[in-house]
Amino acid sequence: MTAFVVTLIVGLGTYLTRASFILTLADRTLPPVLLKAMRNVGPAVLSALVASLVVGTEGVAGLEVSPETVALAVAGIVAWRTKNVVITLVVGMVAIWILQALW
Amino acid sequence: MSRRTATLTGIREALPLAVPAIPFGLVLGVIIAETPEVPNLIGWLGSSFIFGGAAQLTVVTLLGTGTAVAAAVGGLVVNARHFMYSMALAPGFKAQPKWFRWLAPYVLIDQTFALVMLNDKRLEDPVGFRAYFLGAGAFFWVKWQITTGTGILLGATVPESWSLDFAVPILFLGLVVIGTTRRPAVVAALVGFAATMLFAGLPNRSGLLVGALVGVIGGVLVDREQPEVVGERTEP
Repeated sequence: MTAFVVTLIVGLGTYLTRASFILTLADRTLPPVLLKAMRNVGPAVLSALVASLVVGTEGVAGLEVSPETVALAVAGIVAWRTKNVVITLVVGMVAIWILQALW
Repeated sequence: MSRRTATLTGIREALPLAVPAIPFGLVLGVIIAETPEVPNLIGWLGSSFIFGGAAQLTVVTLLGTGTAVAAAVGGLVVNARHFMYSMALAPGFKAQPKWFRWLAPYVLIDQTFALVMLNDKRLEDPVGFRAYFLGAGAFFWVKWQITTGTGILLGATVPESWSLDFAVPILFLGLVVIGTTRRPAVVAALVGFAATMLFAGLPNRSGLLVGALVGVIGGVLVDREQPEVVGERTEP
């Protein structure tokens, strides 16, 4: 039930963000500082999510050199060099399997 | 261009953009199947209710590890970028009827936005644009339902030792690294990452939101460019 309600809320909210300006056809533009802020939302949230998945709820104290952190570092470099999500995913997963087997 | 031709053009141009999202959809499905807090059917409903991979992953991940409030807020925050898409496309919708203004946003995703921005001359032919946009949108939608559904069906057969849930941070990391090229956005991503680590101990995983907010502010502080108006029409 909780999962359903959350999915419904996020679905409705997502539709409203997509429809917002198309429906209102606002000729006004937002204040420049807000426009700048909105362009940074995606990168900041996604990398924050990666960070929270890396350290869990323990904060920096939970940070250690593990198969996961090394594989993520490898995946980050591959993403940067290849600009390709599929290659990044494949290399990252192969890295975690090898590292977990060796660790 | 006839309506039929425009629809087919939309589907053809959608193809190359749809390929990278196939493993994404499969992995999302597998993760839904492996998250006991999210029943399979409800996880799959997310593909039509939310229709956005990053937000769906956020919701499923946070339902599995955090609170419902964090999952809802996290999913909405991840999808906040659609405000910008909507704003950029709004001027091009002036010639469109009401029904299309209500329907089109449902399939306004990263890929369809990219298609329109790559060739915004299409907006000048309202009928052709409707057929083109709905053709591409329907193609992405069907592909997304099939790939996430297939992932869910496969999920139960995938052993835990494959660590497929680890694909989540890899995918997010890949999307950030590849998609972040503007300097302020790079700063926002790096500051957001560091701040989230610092605040990770806050209750209800709110460190994620505080960290992201600090990142957004950090990006704004180093941003000296004038914000451009994307897709502004200069023709009379």
